[in-house]
Amino acid sequence: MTVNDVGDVVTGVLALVGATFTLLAGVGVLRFPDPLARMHAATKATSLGFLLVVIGAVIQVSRGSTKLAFAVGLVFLTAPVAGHLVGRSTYYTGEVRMDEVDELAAADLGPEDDEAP
Amino acid sequence: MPKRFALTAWLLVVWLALWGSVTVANVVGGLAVAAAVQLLPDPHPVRAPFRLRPLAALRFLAYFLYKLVEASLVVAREVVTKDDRINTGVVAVTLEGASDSLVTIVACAYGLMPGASAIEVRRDPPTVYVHVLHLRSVAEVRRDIRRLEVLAVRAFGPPEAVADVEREELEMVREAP
Amino acid sequence: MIVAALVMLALAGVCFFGRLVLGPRLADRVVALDGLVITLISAIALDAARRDSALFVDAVVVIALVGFVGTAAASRFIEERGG
Repeated sequence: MTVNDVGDVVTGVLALVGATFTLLAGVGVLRFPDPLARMHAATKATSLGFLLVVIGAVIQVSRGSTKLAFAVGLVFLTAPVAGHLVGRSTYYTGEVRMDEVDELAAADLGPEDDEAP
Repeated sequence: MPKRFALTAWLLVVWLALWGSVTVANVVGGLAVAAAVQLLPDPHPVRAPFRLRPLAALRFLAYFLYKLVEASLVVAREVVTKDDRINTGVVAVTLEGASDSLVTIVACAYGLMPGASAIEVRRDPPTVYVHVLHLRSVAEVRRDIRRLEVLAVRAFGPPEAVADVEREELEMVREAP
Repeated sequence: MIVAALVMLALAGVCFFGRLVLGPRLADRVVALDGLVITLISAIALDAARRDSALFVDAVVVIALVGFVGTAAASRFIEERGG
């Protein structure tokens, strides 16, 4: 086995595991009954899936690995923010499942006072 | 001035990463763009001091990645198994005396923790409202965020905050013999 | 193995697309589109690895960025108009 073969196998395994996480996130988004639960599934598992896939790809490509690394940084900076924005709008615009405590409703804050002073 | 220099260097690194190669034209172009960007007025000036301690930042990153894997496995388990373990809730967590940038880091990092996402953030006092998918206890959520905050303070916080954190930990060690 | 991973990503894309069609709320569609974007860029990265070509790697960066801006804008829209 040469170094190249080992690289191929590592790439393949990382790609498969990453794709599995993305697929599970997709199934979760399709199956979960609650909008916020779907948001959780979509932000976390896909981010990890993308990270693994890109690590696998970086091993394999001869050019463009800095751009891929940059893309990972971008996704990891934006995914939680996107999750927060979607979660926020979901929470304020309709019914979401709330089993236990809801300290945001208890605090009684309106959604519309976030303008910069 | 050193702050200016660091920002310019960082913008240049981003520029070169986007181009994917280091040539004279890329470096000159990157410097020009970095200078132009800094001439623009800043729409949201950040007042808080921000610094980076590489070692502590690595620890923060390691903890973050570990938790991200855990989060994905939680999602995977929830998808694969038939029974429903979901027990949602929104918990308010106040980050005492945290600066804007620190609250941002903690809230964003918490967005990728197992079954958690910040859905609302408020100033005065800095409070994060987090939505939790598998809520076991409110105290547990607060403890998790506190742990993240301590790591973030050590990595990015001002020296006074780090001193505060360390004093607090010393007291906790003393209280629990 | 990379091809198998690509097939799985395609299935993930089908799932996200299903949620995009089903809705029922606007926020669900935004989540589904976000998932589609990240599935697409994962697939592009994998394809770059498979063929060892940096041709579409720029697209990964651009789509990631545009996808985020789209999600952010859509969330703002939902909050103002109601979902």
